[in-house]
Amino acid sequence: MNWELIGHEWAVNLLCRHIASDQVRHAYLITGPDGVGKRTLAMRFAQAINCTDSKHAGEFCGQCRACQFIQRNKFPDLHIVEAEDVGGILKVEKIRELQHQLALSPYEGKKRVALLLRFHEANDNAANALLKTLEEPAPKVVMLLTAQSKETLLPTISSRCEILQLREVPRDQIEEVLVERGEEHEKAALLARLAAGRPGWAFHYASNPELLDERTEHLEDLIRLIKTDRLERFKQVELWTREWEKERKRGGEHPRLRALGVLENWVSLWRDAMMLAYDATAEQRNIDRAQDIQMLVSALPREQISEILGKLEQAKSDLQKNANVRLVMETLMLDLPRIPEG
Amino acid sequence: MTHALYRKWRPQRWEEVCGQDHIIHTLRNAVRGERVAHAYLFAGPRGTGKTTTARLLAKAVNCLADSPADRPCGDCELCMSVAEGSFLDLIEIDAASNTSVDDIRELRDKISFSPNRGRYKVYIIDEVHMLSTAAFNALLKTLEEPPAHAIFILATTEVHKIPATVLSRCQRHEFRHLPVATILDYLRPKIEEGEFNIEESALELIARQATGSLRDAISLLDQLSSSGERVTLDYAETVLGTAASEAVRGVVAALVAGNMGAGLSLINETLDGGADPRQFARQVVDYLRGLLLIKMGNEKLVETTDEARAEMRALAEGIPLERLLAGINAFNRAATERKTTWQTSLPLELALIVAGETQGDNPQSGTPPQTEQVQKPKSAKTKANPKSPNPEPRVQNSEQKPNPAPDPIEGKLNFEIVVSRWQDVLQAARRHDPRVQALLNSCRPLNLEGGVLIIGFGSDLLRDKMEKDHNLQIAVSALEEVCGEKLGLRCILSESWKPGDPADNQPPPMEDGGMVSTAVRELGAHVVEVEKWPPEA
Repeated sequence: MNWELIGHEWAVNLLCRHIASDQVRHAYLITGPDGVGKRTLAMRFAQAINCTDSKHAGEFCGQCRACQFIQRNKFPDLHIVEAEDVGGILKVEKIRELQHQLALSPYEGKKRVALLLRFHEANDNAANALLKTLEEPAPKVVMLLTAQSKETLLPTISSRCEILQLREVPRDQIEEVLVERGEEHEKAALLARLAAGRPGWAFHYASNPELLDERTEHLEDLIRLIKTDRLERFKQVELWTREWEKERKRGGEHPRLRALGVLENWVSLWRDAMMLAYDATAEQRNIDRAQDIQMLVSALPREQISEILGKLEQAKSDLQKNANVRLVMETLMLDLPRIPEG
Repeated sequence: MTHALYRKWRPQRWEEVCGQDHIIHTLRNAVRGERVAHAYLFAGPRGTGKTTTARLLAKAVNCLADSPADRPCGDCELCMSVAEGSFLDLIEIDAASNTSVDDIRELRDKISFSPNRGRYKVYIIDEVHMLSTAAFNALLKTLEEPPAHAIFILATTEVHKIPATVLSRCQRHEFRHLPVATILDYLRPKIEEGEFNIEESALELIARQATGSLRDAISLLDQLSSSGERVTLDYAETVLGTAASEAVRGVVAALVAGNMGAGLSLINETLDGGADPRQFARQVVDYLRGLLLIKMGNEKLVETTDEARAEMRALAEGIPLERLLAGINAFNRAATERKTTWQTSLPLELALIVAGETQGDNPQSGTPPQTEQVQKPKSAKTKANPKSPNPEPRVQNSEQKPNPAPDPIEGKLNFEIVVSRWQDVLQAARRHDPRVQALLNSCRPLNLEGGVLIIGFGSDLLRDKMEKDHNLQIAVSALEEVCGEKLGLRCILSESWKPGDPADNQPPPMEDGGMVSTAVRELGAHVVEVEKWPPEA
């Protein structure tokens, strides 16, 4: 097996057997959290289907024209359909366009492969337009959908696909690969834990060290803010929102995504605190922050810690629903408890 | 490429359709009696046989078998061509891709031509709920009185999106979810025919997992058996991400005992073992539902072994109803929530804690005493609660004496006195009509001029309301009750409360811990303007 995927052995096995026994289905739905390897799995599967030079059925050579072209996303029989940008909306026009292309027989590959990425971003019209094609596409068509979970799709969509629910990859597996790729042991250990089972996330952070610095900054902000009064906190929110807005004008990320980034780091820390407060054996993730976590746990009753986690989750979902960034953050600041200095 | 099983197994005869006897019976009789209607609507959840039945009906009305009772025969020329998908008089339209009115117009133009080979032209409009309103309306006339050779079959999963005018023109058939037993009865003979090698318990898992949709069940079977090896329960659990039932029971037991730490540890262990979080949440809900049924005295409805039932009974006795309900709610939310977070275990963990912190009337529920910090916001809430026994006015008026009953007024009535007794006026108005009190709450007395009290409203809407009906009269009589003198009332519109009123001169005492004092203390706020706050009744 040369799929070089981290984790998900069962899924790879299953797909390989489908190819080997010539039982490739017409539609697969691959679900799992962001960064767990959905897209990678789908691409490898497309390569394995179309490879012209594989030694064993279900493997791919990586050298032949098909493999190379798919890798570079230039294969004429591979159609990638996705929303314009992450967090956007997949519109019906793209589905219609895809339907026309799928009606043709493959140009040079064995199968025409349609890859519909982040299909939970498809709006209702787009999802419905795909239904009939998804149930009975033309021969020699394979449709691969990826989505965060099948609950985010119409039940009529998921019921037409073979569903592969990818789960979090065990921590030591990620850690091992990180070390193999030349990370220091200490950093690899931290990244693998923070990744919470998502190798894609770990590699992203490993190759962009400034992200880890940003996390440190976010967590330090949290520890500082929790000891200050509300005036100080509101000042910080104002500072953030102004800075994020400025950066966006220079082409940076949307402030909403920035705020979500802060909140996710905070959630991770508070979760560790909750686990510690309730004496659960779950593994701590922010191992470099043990002191801060200990401080939170000893200063706050455990009910309050879980309450804050609920508030943070609420704030995240508000942000995802396009609430005003500054308002959400300020509300959160009001809810954050105050721990007296010292 | 081999076809997916759910396409290969698509029923070709009436007898093969599973679990929808009430519909098949009606349709067969219609075919037998040659009384097929011109428009049908098939509604029902996914994977219950709508498209299949539509195609069968198309086949049956065109079949060449001599006796109508035998149709569709499946052997004649026309039946074969329907099965191959090459029959010209069966027109299957994907309404989700052809939603516009132009598509329907095209259909309307062509429908008048008589069929090519068959007796009827059958239009199957699948996913019909996606048609635009204009398209639906363009269809109406044709749907009501199509040519004699045309039959419409509309199929949809979302019947509530179909206009009533369309519904009333069709014969409507509701397809039902299939019970687990029916799915098992359908799958078992197929398995005994030999192609598959699967454990009975794994098969049951598949049937449960399908939640009433046969297509889901067949897809799962297809997926699991594609390896060609024997499908064991273990393997099925790995692929489906179901947690072992011990883990589910363990989490529920931790919830019952109030041992959150153990519960959290167990959730994490189970998810690390490869279980799917949502799936796990669903299983917990299922189990808790079993406890609820037992608690409510419906033990028979719980489908499980005697041993497991005894265990569930013990757990059901140990958990207070409030906590059980909170648990079902919380875990259900974790299972069905559309938004996703990358911390996939977090919704489950929070659900456990939310449920665990819910107090019940059972004394044994071991939650620790709440500390001061938790109580603080709660006590603040109580103060703000209008129903609390001893409501403190947020901003106390120095002149105002809280008088429960109106005292007789000494001396000449002047504006100051009316203002100081305003609360009593409100109380008196409430006794007549609470709505008048509500209206008076949103105004304030401005002046007393020659026996006429002028009251100001913030908006003309409220002022007009005050002047309507008997509101003014009630207010006047309330005033009379309190002041002992008949006063006139005039309502005017005042843009804002005029500051500088004698009542507002002194800085009001602030409630400690309230939002105002927090703003002053922590945010450096200044009191600029004070409005009188009518005390709650």
